[in-house]
Amino acid sequence: MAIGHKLTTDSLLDGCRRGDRKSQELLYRSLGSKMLGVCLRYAKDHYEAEDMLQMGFVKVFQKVAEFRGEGSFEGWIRRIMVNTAIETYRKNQRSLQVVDIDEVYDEPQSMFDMSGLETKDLLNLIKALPGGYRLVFNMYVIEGYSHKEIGEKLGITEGASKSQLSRARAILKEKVLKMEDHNYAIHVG
Amino acid sequence: MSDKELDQLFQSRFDSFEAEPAASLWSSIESQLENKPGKRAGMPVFWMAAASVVVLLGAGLWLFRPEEKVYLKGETVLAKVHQQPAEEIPAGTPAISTQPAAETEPAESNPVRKAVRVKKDEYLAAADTREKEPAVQAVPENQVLFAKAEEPVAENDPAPIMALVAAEEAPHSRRGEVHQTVLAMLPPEEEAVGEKPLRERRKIRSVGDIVNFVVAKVDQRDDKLIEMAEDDEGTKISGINLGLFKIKSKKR
Repeated sequence: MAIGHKLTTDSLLDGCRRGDRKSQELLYRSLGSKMLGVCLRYAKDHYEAEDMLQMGFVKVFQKVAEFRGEGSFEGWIRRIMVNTAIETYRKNQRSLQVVDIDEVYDEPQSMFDMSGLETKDLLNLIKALPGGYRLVFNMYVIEGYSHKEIGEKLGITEGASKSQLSRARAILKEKVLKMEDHNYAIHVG
Repeated sequence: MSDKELDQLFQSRFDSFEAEPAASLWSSIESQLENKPGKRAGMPVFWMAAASVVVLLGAGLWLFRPEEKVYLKGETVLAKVHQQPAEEIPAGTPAISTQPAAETEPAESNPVRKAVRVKKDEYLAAADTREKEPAVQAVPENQVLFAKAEEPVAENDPAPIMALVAAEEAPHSRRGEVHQTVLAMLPPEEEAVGEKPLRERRKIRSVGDIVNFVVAKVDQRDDKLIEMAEDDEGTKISGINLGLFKIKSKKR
């Protein structure tokens, strides 16, 4: 599905602006997997990730008129995915969904990436993070938002963002190291 | 492991991370798009409806804040002698008038303003349900006399909010402009005593009157679902009663 990205994406923008269904579908086919990859990091399980993906794309197509060409179209789409993720998180908070940590471990349908198993493990580590930490870690480390931006989007202070990030990192470091040790132990005997 | 190393580990792994969505996902997207065709800025109708409700409530609340200050009206004079309920209002009693102060009833005019309990009349058709005289009459004075409005209300005694008095009986309904004027003081605790906004009586002069008329026909409670009153700026909502939620303007 990873067809020639940038060119395809930008050239589809006009079609999407016109509401042309074919362009929309092509855009989805072009970027859908990547965006699902994004959503998987934010969602608590694969089903929620796909919900986010669907909502995100619907929003993209409905709001495409608002895209003014600052930055790349793909970047804009990604931001919409993140926003959708935040909304979902908030909704979950409100309905006080208690997620059993064990439930978070969810086998995605199909994943392909460059380095075999490990990404899957890392993904599970991210998913195992408590919701707020996960959000901040994803937004800061992978999406590249600043603490200020995170604060604004989540309605928290910069300081809160920073501290949540460092807690997230601490948890992840510990688990990654354990994982590496484990792998090492297995391989070395 | 440093922060940087951790970050880089995750960044590099997830940069190219993709996963294939379910095959049916596109059709779900498509059907959602079809449900809302021609949506440009993507503001669902729901949000617009919600927004308008909020705006209306906000406007209602805003129009209706408790007033802490005193109203001074330039030239409106209310003069009415309001006797015991049983009494008919003497024919000569003017109801509300916007005539300049000079026309204050000689017999009653007092430069001193007395705040009194005003008997609130029910609006038009609902006059029958209303009459809370007893409660209102609990107060010794029943006379509402307003002198020139120039006089500051300030030092008025514990008197309650003064309100407009509308003519009781049809024949005595207001003449000319019924311009309600309020010289208001606000010890809020006084409000409890049978305060009801005055109503224009027989004449329907504005949208507010129509609203009041209709509501009065239907709503038998003392505090109507919605009440409209006129002030110098036009018709405003002076009260809302949704059962759990009640607001009443204290301006009157």
